[in-house]
This record gives sequence, C-alpha cells and structure tokens, in this order.
Amino acid sequence: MKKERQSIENLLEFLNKYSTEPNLLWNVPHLYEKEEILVQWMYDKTTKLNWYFKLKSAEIWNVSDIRSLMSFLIEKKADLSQFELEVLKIICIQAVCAHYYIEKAGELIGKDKIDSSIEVLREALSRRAIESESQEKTLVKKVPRLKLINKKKKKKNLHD
Amino acid sequence: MTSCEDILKYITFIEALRSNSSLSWTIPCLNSNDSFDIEWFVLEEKSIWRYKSSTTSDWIETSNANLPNTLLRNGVDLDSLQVLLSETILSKVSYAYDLVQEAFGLFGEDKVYNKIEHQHNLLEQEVDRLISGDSSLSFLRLIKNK
Repeated sequence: MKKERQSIENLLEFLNKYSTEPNLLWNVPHLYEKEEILVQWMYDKTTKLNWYFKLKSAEIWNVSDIRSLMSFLIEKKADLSQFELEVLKIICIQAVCAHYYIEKAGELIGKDKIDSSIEVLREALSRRAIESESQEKTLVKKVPRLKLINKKKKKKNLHD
Repeated sequence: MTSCEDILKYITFIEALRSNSSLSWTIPCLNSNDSFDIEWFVLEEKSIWRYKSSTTSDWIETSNANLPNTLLRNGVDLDSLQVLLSETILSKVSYAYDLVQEAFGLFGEDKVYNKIEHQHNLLEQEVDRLISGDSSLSFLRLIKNK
C-alpha cells in the first residue's frame, strides 16, 4: 500500500508541475460499494492547493494537497489501481501532445532551431541532475535524446 | 521578408495548441518610433486577439485572420513579430521536452512512444485541421474526448 501510494503521489506531482489543462476530473470507483469519489485538479499557483475531492453524494468539496487527497482515498477505500490508471492515461496524453507540439513547432520554425533549443535544455537538465547527485549522492539521471517519430519516413521505408 | 501568411501560421499555431492562457508582445513599427502591443487570451472558451498602438489607450479586438494584415497596414515590423512569436514557441518546446522526459521517467519510454505512435494519425489530422484555421477549439480537449 505504501509503495502504491508513493507511486500515485509521484504521478499527481507530475500534474501539479506540468498539466497543460486548467482542470481535470476523475470519477474514482469505490472498492466495495457503488459510491464513487470525485477528484478534481484545478491549477492554483497561489495556494498550491490544487486538489478538490469528495464522495459523489456529498455537497461540500475538500480542497487540499496531494497527501490529504491520498489519505482521503485510502480512508474511503477508493480503487487506487483504477485511479492510477486514469491518471497515467492523462499523463500519457499530455506527453503525446507535448511531443506533437515539438514536432509541429519544428515544421513551423525549423528543426534546427528546435534542436538547438532542446540541446540547451538537455544540458540544463544534465547539470541539474549532476548537482542533485552531488547533493544527495544519488545516481545521475541520464537525459536521453528525444527521438521524434516521423511517420511519413516510416511509411516510405515500408514501400522501399 | 516575413509575409502576412507566415504570421498567420504562427499565431494560429499558438492559438490552436493553447499551451498558455494568455500571451502578449510589443512590436516596433518600421518607419516611426511607435510600437504596437498585441495580446492573446481565452475568455469564456473564446479565443481573443487584440492590439493597441503606443499612441492610443484603446484596445481593438480582431480575428486571427485579420490581425497580420491590420498590423502590416499600420507599419508594424513583421520580421520582429516573427522573431518574438518564434521565441514564444521555443520556450514552450523546452517545457514540452521536459514534460516528455518526466513522463518517460514515470512510466517508461517505450510505453510513451507506443502511445505516441498509436495516436499519431489522429493527432496529425487534428493538428492540421486546427492549424489550417477550421477551428479554434482546444487541441488537448479534442484529443482527450476521443
């Protein structure tokens, strides 16, 4: 349970940091009963309390942080696996869209410019990882190159 | 020499992908010391473009299709505008790259790429449609609803 909780908290931290949508909503099923739990994420830069949650039948929303949300879900015996799956789906869609943004931006303003911009970021990320390593004595996070999928090229190869 | 068509492509891209809720730029004019402020924001699901000359305090709303011609008529330096729009897009590219890397870390590079490949055609159609100006709906919301 502790591991599962940590895993979901990591995913929710991702949304706090990166979500490109102003709000997100999930109906989380209960493990044993029919009642659902509603979980909503809304961006709030000021309070950082981005998480709204309640039993579907309740009138008042709780507004709090990730830890409180997780405590609530565990206390109410929500189906955490299902919730994790739905959150992963959202993250994947956002990653797909981000990937697409990079690809389409490359077509619009030139792949060279995009590559050099990404190179600067890769260096910054590597530096950050090295600094983090020296501080925390953890492994350096390897920053891989982003391999943009070129469908047209692939199709051409198939014909070849 | 930047054309109105070039500028329209840039602003439609920025509008269609809606990775910000509001943006603004100040662009110099070519033959005077004046400048123009341009703003883009979303209000009640509607995408709004407006501009203002440095010599007035009144904002004028316009459509994305009319904005480039209007700016050109007012002597705005379209080359400078293109540079600023490129910088806006590039800053988002960095953010998008960081997002993808974090997603790799969370649930594996292969899984993300499988998903990307699976949705590639669908995404391509949607993005092309949005960039061609047929719709100003949120790109991300469209994908999610599939």
